[in-house]
Amino acid sequence: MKMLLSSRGLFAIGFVILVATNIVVLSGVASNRSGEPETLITLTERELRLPYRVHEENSGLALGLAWRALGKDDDFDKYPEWRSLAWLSAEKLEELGFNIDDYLRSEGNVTLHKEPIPREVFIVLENNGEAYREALRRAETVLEKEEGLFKSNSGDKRLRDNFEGAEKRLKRERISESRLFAIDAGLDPKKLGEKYNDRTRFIIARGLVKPTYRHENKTKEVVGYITKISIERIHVPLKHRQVFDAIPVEDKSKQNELRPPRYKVELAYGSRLEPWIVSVQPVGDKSD
Amino acid sequence: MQVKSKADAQQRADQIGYFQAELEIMEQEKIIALQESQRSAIANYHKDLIAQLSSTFDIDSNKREKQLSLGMKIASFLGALGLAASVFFLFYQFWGRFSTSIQVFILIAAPFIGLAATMYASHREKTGYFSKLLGLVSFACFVLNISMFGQIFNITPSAKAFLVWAIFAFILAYASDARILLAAGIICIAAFLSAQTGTWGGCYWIYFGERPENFFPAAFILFLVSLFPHNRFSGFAAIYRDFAMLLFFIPVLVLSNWGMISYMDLANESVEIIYQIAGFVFSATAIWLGIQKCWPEVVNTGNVFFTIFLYTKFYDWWWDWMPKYLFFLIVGLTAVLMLLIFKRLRNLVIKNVREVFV
Repeated sequence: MKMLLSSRGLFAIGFVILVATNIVVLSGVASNRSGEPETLITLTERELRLPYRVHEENSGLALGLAWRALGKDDDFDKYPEWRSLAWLSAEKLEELGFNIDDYLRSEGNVTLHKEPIPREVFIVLENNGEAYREALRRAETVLEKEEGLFKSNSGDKRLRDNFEGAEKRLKRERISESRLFAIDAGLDPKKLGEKYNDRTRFIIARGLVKPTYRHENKTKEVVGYITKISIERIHVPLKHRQVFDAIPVEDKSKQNELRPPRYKVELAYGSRLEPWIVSVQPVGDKSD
Repeated sequence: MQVKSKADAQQRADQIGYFQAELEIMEQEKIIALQESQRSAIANYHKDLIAQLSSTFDIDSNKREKQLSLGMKIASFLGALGLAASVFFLFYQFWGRFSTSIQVFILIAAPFIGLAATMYASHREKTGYFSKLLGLVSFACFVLNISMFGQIFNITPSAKAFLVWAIFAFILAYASDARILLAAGIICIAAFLSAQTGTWGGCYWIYFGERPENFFPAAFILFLVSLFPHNRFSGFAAIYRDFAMLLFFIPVLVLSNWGMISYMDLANESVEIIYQIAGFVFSATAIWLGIQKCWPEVVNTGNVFFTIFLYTKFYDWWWDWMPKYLFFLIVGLTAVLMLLIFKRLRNLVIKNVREVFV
């Protein structure tokens, strides 16, 4: 009997846990969405992509946040350059709380190399700003260079391929590539908010940064690497599904096609830097 | 003997069965001859005791019942896993067709209904099969509840989810004496403690596995918990010990081979040597402690890891340069040597037991 009573008590605590947890989670959501949003930005299909695969057994829909970063080299296709950011240097990493000496040391013949672990920081993403224009300029420069080389020797198949590739790259850059670029990072979201105060252009989001090594001219250089933005999947509630449901299923997965965006999304980020969709609108054939 | 749990009751019933069988042999061998009144007194006492234990704990009084019970346990386990998975897939199949408020309502209501059903089943049914099954479904609903809220409202992932899942699983495990829920609770609390340790060590919580030392505090705490009396619950202490040892020895094994993922500010080779020594010392200690305390799971886990550490070392030292026939000969001879050591240990234990009897 004593055991029965004690198990009843445990079940009662179980109910309390359920109630308390749900209250805490939902009040967190409410607090994030109350007041004026930290960011209210309009993104298009270029920055918020439909999933690559349609899962028949999952009726939910989430858009993927497509962000980029300018690497040190012009050739942005060179992996992992596209996430080995020009601005995320060893000094910046130290500013973000990494002790670079911990990761790369040697005493005589003994290796003291330690595998780095990611840290959570606040990352600034800029939409359609200077970083995007720089990416466009780089694509134009590459095209000019490849065109010059091809014209000087028009019979060379490799040069023709390079030229066509550069042409495609520029077209992609103008029409379908994401214009959302990671441009800065810090440990204090308020300071970042003051520095990047245009709420319609900048997103401040949690993300993970880790040091990595760049081998250049037989020297090892420590550089930063954004492993991910903490929330990269944005859930689409039923009330905003209409626009996406109107897109034929066979077209949803065709991500790499050169075509202008088919929808634009107004996205808000609240006080806890958690996003939600405010509105979704279809767009015409013209690039937004 | 104080009977506090179903396991205790089953042990007592088995003991009675062995006693009756042995008594019959002794009488046949004419070692003792009980009077009819004595025999019937013993038989009546045992009959009453078995009836009492059966009504309170629903024990198996013979071999056939035991076999059937095992079948029921397996069916209950598979049913629980199947239903828990079904809840997940059912929600995923249809959630996109519901508005946010309906999604929230379903996600909150599901674990409440599950918990209420578990509570009802645990009061109605002595065997506990249905309460355990419903308990696991209820736990799955709660995991779904919190993880889906994370997706629906785009919430930043947090290790705290593991803490509340662990508390809920422990509550269900202790309320319905369910080992599978205890294991679920242990996994969640180990994830939370390791993530917390990782955060204190400077990494983002999801990457706690990248520094295997993050698991050590969880292993230590779980081992301490196993020392608290768990008489009322079937096999709980052994499960705590099993998980504690796995959470300790697996990271030690990893670090003994990859020193570069350690927190230690030493050369990688030094880190590996330290963990190799620790692996041998602690697995040998586990074998010794298990024998001393009569914890078979500790002896077995210690044995397994001692062997793994030994063979890993053999591989490092000899695989590249030694002819394969010689390498495997050494492996075989080591196994024979270990067999001899264990035989000697076993004889020592038997000798000690005999001395106690004398």
